[in-house]
Amino acid sequence: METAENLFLKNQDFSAKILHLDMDSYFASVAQQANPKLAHRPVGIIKALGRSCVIAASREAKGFGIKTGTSIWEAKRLCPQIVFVPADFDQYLSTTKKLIEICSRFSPELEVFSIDELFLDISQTERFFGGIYHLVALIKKALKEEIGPLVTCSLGLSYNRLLAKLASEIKKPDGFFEITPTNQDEILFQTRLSDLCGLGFRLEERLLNMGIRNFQQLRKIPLEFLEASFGPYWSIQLKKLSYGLDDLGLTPFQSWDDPKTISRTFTLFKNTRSSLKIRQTLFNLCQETCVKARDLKMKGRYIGLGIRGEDQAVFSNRTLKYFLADEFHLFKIVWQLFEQLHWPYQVRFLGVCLSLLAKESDLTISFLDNPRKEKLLGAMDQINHRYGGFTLYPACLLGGELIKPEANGFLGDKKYQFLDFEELPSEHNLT
Amino acid sequence: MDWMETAINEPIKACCLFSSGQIKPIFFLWQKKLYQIQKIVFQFSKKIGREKVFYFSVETETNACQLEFNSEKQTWKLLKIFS
Repeated sequence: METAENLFLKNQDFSAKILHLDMDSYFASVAQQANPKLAHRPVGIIKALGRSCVIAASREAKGFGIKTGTSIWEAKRLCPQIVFVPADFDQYLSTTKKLIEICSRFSPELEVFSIDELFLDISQTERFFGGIYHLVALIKKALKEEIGPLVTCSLGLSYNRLLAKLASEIKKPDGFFEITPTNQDEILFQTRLSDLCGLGFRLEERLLNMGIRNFQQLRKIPLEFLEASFGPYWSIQLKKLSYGLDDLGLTPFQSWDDPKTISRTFTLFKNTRSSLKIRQTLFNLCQETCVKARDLKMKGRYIGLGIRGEDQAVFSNRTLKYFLADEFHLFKIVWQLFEQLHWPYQVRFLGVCLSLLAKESDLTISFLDNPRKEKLLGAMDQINHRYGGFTLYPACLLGGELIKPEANGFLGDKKYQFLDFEELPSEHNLT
Repeated sequence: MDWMETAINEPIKACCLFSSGQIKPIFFLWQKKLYQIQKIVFQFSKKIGREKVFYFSVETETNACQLEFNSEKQTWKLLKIFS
């Protein structure tokens, strides 16, 4: 009788050539490229003026021990000459789009994984570029010439996404590494459990508590034993990870699913009890959420509210029987949720989410819809799309600081961020 | 905090080359002085409403600065001088 392990291995295709491209110290290197005076200096990217921690560090700053999450105070102590630069997400997203355009010249099979990572399936195309090594050199050359020499990437090659991503971590920065069926066990067995994509810190902790410290040990554990501890899904996933197996293909632009949730969070600059500040912030978040939903032609009926402050956190939600994408309506419910919580602490963080989304075209016309209001919101959206976000906004936001939409590093809202992307890979012919 | 940049945000006159879908500023005139662009070190673009705005980090003989080109309004600006 065949074991589960044999079944996994039998279905594995070793012929695929998946390239993972990981930008090195992306935000900081883009900032250094955009401002030549910052080149080769320790740079810390901060979210905005007045924020307290570094969200990305240049490779020079990393040399001083500064990393994501280091406080500004600590960063200055470690490296007094560090320069702090506020993040410019438009700049990063524009550079990512350029990166996608460059990579799509080498294969139409491309998956955008995050703002600074992508996968490229070059199985069918590498031969047009003189082989893998020449193709890798061409990508690096194009990046250098078309984006700039300071914005470098590390590349990893393997026969699946999981190992390609692991390979790109091995020779950083500006390197290239290949994981083959021959060297994969050697590399996998030296890899820390949570360094493999898909295995998080919590799972690692549970495995460590069971005495499983590496993938070699994990591989030896019988599937039945894992199943007893982790259940039928995770036991199989863990077993697959221990063999470096990943049967998911790339998800190109054309196959992106519609989002299941649209959310927006914001950390206030200081703790507050001000009802006006909290109302304005929540309305601002509701507005961005609903504008995104309308742009995607979707409506939702699950509403969530998250609050944090003074080391306390709470999440409240309500599921409606009807769908909405109207910020005034959404805010009304969010404010009810807030009031019901009787939050006694100061507020530092607020988040709003709209979930259980459905395409407008799939919904029946509701008697609760207000056509006049929908027309008004449509007109507002048109004006803001023509002249820029927040050209027109409700008066209740007057006097407060406007929170504008921005891309985040995970690109969780990539379907929205790439709505008007003109350089879709499918439009390019291979050169 | 040492930001290493000075915001200018003033309109300029610029001479540029439009070629193969690319925009390449060659020189610009600011405060009656001509600045020859020696190198474009970085560029990116963003949309403000329907307007597409291009940003160029350029090096002149003496300075490094950021220029802005609004393709809808066909206007150039000197945004920042890096020091």
